Amino acid sequence: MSTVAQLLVSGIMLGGIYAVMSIGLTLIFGVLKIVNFAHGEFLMLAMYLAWAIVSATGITTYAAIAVVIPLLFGFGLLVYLLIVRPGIEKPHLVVVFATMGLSIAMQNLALVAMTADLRDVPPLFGGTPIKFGTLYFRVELLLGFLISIAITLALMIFVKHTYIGKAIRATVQDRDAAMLMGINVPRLFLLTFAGGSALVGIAGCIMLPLYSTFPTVGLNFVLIAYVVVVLGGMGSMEGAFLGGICVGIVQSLSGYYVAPAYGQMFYFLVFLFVMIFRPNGLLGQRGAAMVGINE
Amino acid sequence: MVEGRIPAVVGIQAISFSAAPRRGAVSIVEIAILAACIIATVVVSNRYAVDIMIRTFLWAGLALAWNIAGGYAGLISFGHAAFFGIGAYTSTILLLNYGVPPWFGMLAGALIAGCGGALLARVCARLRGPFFILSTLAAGEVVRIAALNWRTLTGGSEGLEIAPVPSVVNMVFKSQWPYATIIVAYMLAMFALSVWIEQTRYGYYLFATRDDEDGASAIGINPSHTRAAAMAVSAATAAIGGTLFAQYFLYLDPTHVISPDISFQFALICAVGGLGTASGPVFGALIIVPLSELLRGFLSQSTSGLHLVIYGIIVIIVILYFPSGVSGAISRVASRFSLAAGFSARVQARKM
Amino acid sequence: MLKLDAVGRQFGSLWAVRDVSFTVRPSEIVGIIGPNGAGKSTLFNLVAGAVVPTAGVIRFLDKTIDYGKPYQVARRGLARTFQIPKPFKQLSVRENVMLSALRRHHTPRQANAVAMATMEFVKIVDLAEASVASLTVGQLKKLELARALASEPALLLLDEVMAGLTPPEIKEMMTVIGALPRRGITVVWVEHVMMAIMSVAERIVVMHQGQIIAQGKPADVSKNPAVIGAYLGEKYAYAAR
Repeated sequence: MSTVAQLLVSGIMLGGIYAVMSIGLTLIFGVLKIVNFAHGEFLMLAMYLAWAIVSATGITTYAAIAVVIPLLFGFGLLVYLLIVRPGIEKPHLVVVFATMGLSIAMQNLALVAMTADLRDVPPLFGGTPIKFGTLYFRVELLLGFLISIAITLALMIFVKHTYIGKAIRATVQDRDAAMLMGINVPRLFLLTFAGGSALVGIAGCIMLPLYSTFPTVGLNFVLIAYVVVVLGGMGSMEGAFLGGICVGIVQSLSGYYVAPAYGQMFYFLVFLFVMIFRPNGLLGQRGAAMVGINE
Repeated sequence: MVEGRIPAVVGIQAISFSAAPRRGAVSIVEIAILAACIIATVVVSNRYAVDIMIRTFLWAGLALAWNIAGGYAGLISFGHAAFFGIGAYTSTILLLNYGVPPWFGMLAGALIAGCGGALLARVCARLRGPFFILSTLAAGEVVRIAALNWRTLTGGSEGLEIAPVPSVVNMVFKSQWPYATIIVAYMLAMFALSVWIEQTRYGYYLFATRDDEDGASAIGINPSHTRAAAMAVSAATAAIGGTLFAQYFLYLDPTHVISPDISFQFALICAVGGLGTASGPVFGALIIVPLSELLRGFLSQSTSGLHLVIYGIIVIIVILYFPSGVSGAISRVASRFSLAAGFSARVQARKM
Repeated sequence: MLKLDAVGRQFGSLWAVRDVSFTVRPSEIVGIIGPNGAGKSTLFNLVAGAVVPTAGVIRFLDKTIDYGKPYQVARRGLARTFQIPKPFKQLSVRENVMLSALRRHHTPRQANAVAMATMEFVKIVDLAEASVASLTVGQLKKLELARALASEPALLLLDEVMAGLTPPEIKEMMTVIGALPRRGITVVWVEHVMMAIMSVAERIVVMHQGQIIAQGKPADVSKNPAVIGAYLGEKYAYAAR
């Protein structure tokens, strides 16, 4: 019984972390309606940057967030201007392929620059888990989860109460109407892409203590991120959080009760299941998946 | 010049020829390149060079297979490696466990993959754009993980090996030449299939479904039917390529055969060469495969991976600035030089 | 040819079309008019098979239409135009028309011949190899018509085919449409450009708020007080009486 509780709780916490990783993606996907195949590599970049900062200065990764956010924001800006914007008005597969090319280039750049060695940071408090009744968790997991709640709440407030937030919601629902309403959509695209990348920066920092980083670490997570986004519905913050929790729980439980290798297959099956029966996700907009994107 | 006129097209019975690459006609440029491939197969004897040629032609054939779904029908699949793998594994398992010659095993693999393709199309019938792409990716991964874990059937991560005992029945050869011939034949067959599709009613139905589903429906085309058929054919032909792959390399394992990297490769070759044209995948393969080899050779061991960085950058540049790929670029250049003028005095209505 | 029996379609709590019954005989040209919101588009989509009726029965050539799959109805000999033309952008004008012709003629060669003939009839044959993007509104509308005709339908549904045309273009289109019954094609035509439809159609059906308020010859219908009332408001209806 307490095994189940343990699994559930760690699954939920892991889910929170997955949510942070995906929240930027759901924004980008929802607002720009593009698939960024290099999303995993943005995460990888963030993790390497965090590692570099921690190794060089000795501060914790959580403090490094302050530095990584602007760096990833800038990187996102650059990628948007050079690679995404030229492809926006063209058929969506232009952006798909372009970001794929970026993904390949980034993975191998990391390979060349950092070699395939795993890099990690020393655990907090010497690695002793926190004890909560009969449940144990790693400090980093708990911290990551708390941060993810904070970020999700902050974003939810931001989206509901600021002008940009409303602009985002409007553009997610109907880009053309938003433009007609006077929303500067091209500028919004730029901000969203860069901002989404900055969010990935945060994710990288909180994930580094839990997972080592190496050049292809992004591949492991990009598909999870997409499952979370699809599950939660494109463009929805709460959806990303809930989606993340679901995936976290599924992975935690199936990793234990079914063979760990099959565990990976499970969330792909969940993804396909959602795509077939509720393509708009749990909290997404009706018809979002059926509407021709970019046509 | 009438606005929008295409280079001169001359119809000869059932096949239509033209000066520059265009949909629905075989151009001089294409014929020249294919002829060069055939001649190269016969003439070149350097082991290393022939190996590159074999791989290039195989990738070209596979990319042509992908193109049927991705280019003609607009169904961009990033899980196609699964069909490729199904073909490779089916014929190999039948060979190793039951002694079935790969010539037949190939057909079995194609059949299974074809059904899989139709199933995938049905399952993803209502999905469009990025959602469809991601679903195919997920489906491909499901197949890969299944193959990885179903040890008894597929040998898991240890993979399957075919004994290098030469035998025509078992499609194992000592020299490269028979392999080269078979694979070039595969590429030519796929090219012919693509051209045939472009010129028949079925091809037009594919283009219509791809462009505007409602409009297609209004003129009597059943879009889900058309999609499923395209996916099935694409999957089946990719599976055949899978068998050829298995017979040449004599070793299969899920991580290398059913990987997203391979699926991406199919798509990238088509994108670089020209999506939705018969010659696009051929051009794409001719550029990308030797290029990767060249880059890998040039750059020393210590900077392993650098060639892929360059490869990634090339992809970005090509797709952003040459969206209709090499094939499109050649078309534009050829029509600029008005090859039309030399080819025929007047624009003729196609005799088709 | 076409028979509607108490046909209705509900969206939520709104009956867009309600209790509509009429018959269309072979080689007739029937026009459907009515102010905006009358339910003409819904009726159109019902007959075209794009929308399933919530009430009543639609019979085309003695078989019911009720599956919401347009291609099945199209295959039985029904063709429609789109109010906002939707040609296939990546194909040339001729290829667009040829696509429709392929329904009946399986080889591209035969279909091409039919396409050329149809384009001549509609008078766009000199645009055959042009790309769709270069066409004007008038030319696009003609292309829509050519596409519909190339499938050699028994019944042709026209959706506001005159919208956006200049007066000479309207006259040309009127001649073309008027010639259709002689080719054995029945026409059901929704239109706003009164001058065109009232002169060409043999019978007019007037819709208002989802129901038919009048049916008959153009001359009679135009004098019908209920019709005038629907378009211009009750005051004018009194004047007509």
